Amino acid sequence: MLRATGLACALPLLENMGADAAVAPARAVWIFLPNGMHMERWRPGASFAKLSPTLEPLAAHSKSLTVITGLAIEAGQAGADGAGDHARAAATFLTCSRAKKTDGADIHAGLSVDQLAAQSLGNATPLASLELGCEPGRLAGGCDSGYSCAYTNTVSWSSPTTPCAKETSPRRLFERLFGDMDAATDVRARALARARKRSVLDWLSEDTRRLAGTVSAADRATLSAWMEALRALEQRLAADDSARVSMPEPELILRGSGSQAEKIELMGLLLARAFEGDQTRIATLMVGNAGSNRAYPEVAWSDGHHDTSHHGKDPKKLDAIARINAWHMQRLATFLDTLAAAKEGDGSVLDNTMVLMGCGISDGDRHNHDDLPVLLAGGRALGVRGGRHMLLARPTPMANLHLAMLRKLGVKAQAFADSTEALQLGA
Amino acid sequence: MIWRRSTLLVMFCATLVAQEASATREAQTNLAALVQRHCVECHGPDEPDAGLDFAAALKAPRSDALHGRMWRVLADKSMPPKQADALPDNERAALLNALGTLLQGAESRQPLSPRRLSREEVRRSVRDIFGVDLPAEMLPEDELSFGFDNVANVRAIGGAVAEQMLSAAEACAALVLPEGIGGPIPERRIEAEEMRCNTECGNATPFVSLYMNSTLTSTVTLKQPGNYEISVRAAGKQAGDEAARMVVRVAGKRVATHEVAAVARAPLEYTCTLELGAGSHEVVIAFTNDFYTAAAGTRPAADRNLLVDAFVLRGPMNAAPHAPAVALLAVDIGVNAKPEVRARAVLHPVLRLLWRGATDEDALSRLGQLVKERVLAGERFEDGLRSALIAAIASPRFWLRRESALSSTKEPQRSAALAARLALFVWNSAPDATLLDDAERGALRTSEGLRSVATRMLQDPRAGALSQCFAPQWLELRNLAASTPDAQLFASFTPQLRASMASEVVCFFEMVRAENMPARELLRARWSCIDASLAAHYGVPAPENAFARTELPERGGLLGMAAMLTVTSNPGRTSPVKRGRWILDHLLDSPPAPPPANAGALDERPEIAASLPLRERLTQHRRDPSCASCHTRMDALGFALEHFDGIGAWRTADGPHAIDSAGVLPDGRRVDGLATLKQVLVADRAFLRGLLRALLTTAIGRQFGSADELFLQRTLDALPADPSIADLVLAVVGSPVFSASSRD
Repeated sequence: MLRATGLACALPLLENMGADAAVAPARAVWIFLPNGMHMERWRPGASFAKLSPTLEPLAAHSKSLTVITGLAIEAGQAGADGAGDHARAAATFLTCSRAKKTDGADIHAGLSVDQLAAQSLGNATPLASLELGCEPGRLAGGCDSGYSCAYTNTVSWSSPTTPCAKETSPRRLFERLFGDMDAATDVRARALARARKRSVLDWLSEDTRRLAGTVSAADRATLSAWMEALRALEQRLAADDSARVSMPEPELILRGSGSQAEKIELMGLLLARAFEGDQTRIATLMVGNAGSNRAYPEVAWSDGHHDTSHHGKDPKKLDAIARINAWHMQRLATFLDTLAAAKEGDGSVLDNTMVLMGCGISDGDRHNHDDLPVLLAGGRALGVRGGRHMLLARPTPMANLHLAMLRKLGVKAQAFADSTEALQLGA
Repeated sequence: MIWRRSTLLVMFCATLVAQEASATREAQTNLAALVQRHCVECHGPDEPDAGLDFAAALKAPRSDALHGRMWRVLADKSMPPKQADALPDNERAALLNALGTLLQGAESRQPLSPRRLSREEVRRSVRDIFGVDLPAEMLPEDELSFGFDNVANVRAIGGAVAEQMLSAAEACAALVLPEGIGGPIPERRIEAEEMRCNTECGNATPFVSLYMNSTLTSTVTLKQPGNYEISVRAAGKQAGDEAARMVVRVAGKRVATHEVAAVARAPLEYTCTLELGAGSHEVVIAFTNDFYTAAAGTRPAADRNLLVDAFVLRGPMNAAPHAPAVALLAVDIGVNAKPEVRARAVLHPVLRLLWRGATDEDALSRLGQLVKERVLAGERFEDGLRSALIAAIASPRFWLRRESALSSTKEPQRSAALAARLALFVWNSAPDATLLDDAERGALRTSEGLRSVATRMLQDPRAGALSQCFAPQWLELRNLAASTPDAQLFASFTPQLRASMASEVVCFFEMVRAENMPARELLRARWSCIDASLAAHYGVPAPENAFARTELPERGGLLGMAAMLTVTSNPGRTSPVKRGRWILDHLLDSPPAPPPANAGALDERPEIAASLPLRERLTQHRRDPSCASCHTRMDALGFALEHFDGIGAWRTADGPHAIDSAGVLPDGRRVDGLATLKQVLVADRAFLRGLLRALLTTAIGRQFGSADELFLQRTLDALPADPSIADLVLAVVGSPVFSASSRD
């Protein structure tokens, strides 16, 4: 006897709008960057005629770009919890909910916007969502001031107590998305592989059901999450994947040990192909973990990103931060190029995909959770206007943007976390 | 009589419980009175110091964490503070006594959460059970908690993790029983029509006709290395005085030249053998002696062409008996038995190990059914067995620790769970048959029994896991793999040196452990284990044998190790602060609080860095009182190591500044350089407490915090004066908290 998984939705009135089959699918990806931005170099002018130095690499996509100034995440503030702004930056980025300060198993944040969308729309695709990252977790020690590494390494939460592990290996992601396509030419081999997998999954489901009766309540909760995962795997196995696009193993994976730029590019490329083949419509991507201290030889900077972000107004460090930020915008531009090049209907995959990129803190030295650097690209066919700098008059909950994106995806949500109203993306 | 005895027992227990309850009540009353007298003036409802209001806090029914915290500050006399009224010794003793009563058994009251096996635990389990090496990257990433990978793998199992676990199980089962074991040699046929022709080729069904010097190319991907055979079915359209010549090239290398004398109505197979590695290989079939003369008079045109039908790649041919499969199938009762009966015979002994003693009859027979189902679907027994192995490895019976069974009243389950906890702690692996036999005999039922079994386990090479897995996590030295020293400043930091640094830690710890030296030798040693590249790095002669014990009087011990000195440095310079924090955290068991939000950074402007030594810049930083309380502790410790640069090489100057390694600790003791730092740390029993705390954290799977302070102290007091690592491990194993599940 398995207990319910506790995935009950926190929101009233959730339903799938029922997409018209002829209409291209609506998609969204939320991209997280660590350690904040050099805000003066990030912020474009009000007119948007000229992009800021940091945003310059996105010039080719400026028509589909909305830069939003004035968003804030209240739940990221320290309050009584003290140090740990990086953990909070990631934990609240898509949940807009307070994260319980603990390094133990009693973690608690909130349902994240992407997972809410996945739970509402995920049945339409073989994979409900993808959670990706370009940096593996820490190898030893603590992650941030007494916060669990789950908070710094994850932005996606399928329930307030369930962080979604992210995939950080392009090779594993390729295997997961396209691995069995190798056998596609040999129909018999593929059928055999499926039959074997089905036998194993059937056995595991039955096994888990029986095991659950013999363990403690806490273990049973783990088993019920496992059961849920098995069900998703079975569903994927049964899914009609005739729409899947096959792709050869990218040269960059075969060669191995690529640079960080190549790794980010690969993750973007595989995600774009997953979107194109309608394997999923919802994704998150952490380009770096919160508080990442990776060095950036790519922009001739050998100190750690996090250490540098404590710039103390040192012009040299500030300049390095801005160079790192711009480098990330170049990576984003490559990803947008890929989405824009994939034709879909009269337009491109990008037209049907909202790409949000931003940070959970603004300035790395102040760790402020307001005035967040956030941009939205793509989604023209979904009614996102683009080509402008949206200057909000007063601090506005980030949840308002998430709510607006949920609605564009076709999720009929009344509210999300601490939202007050949906941001007007089309007006 | 039996009835009477049990009634007596119940009465006896009831009396005990009643006594305990009355002792608790008395302690609570005493505590309340004493706290009222000595503590609430500062820690009362009005602006309580440290946010601690005893009036409110002590009302909670169980407050182990608070009691433990009070016990610690009263025991080490840091409370009441100097400026407050002194606490008479007898009242301090009364307070400690009351707290001691209340904290009785607190260590067994703390809740435990479910634990998933870590990557290393999975890897070592399948290595010990099946003899296969599963790459770590195949397994889901670990979630660190309290610095360890196996404490609270709190990540739920959903999404990517479940898929990774399943594909890791597939990979593992394929390593044990590769495709094709016990069957015919695998082969694949590639039709000439599927190959790429580099010029123009003709269609002459069933052949592809090469009518000029051209090539056919195809790429094959092999999962296993070995000897392969390439057979090309071909014929020639013969003309001139030579047969058609066919060259086979693999990966650009010519492997065979065949004179193809066969003709189209009777093609032949032209075979060659070669050794191939795993991966992709380009196979090229080339026609090299094209010949053509036009018709002249009565002589017809003469045209020599090569006709290729297909090639077959067979192999690996030399599949030597595959050791893991041979071991697994050693108990196979043969093809005449029913598949489910055969499967049961083969699986029973491995499942006992894989599921750590909790072999479930029902699960076992259902695995037999799974094999039968696959065989009925037309598969071979070995292939069905592989599916059963995948299921067994992917089952939570393997990857979920079932520690709730520790509170089970059913003896076989309880002992099996203890054997599992013991093996995962001491070996980072599954229990072996001997240990499970011990458990079944009841050898683990007493604390003495556990200690004696653990003593034997510590003699086993598998106990090296304490050095390979525990030590680098405890000391945060796994982070060495992610360190990025500035390539220009530290050109000598090669991948080789990085690897040697990591090996030094493991090898040194293992020598101290395996030779039963006192644990404090980790600090005071004047020797280490180095190889030639570390010798060059340390400026000493290369040792005769790599990683043998080498005397290093000026270095030696954990504090002189390049791994630690690198991990605690910034990419471009040393960080006395990070080194100080590391010492407080790992060697003195008193981690400093995290820096306040918006802590000021050091002035690193080049003109300042050049004119002011690092020490001066840190002194400036300490003037801020919110920084001073921690930095006065950290910085003096860290500065003592300033003679070691950002990758641990000895230096006498930092750029233009001379090195000053002197400092004063908050208690007034002076340190200057490594030797005096070692003296200070070795003298402090906090080092042992920290090590014990770390061992308990990974063994039991929870944080050992305030509530456990008294328990830690008592455990430590019961140890010999200068205990070995084994003594500490045995103290963990023999403590009540090891054999009890939490009473939640």
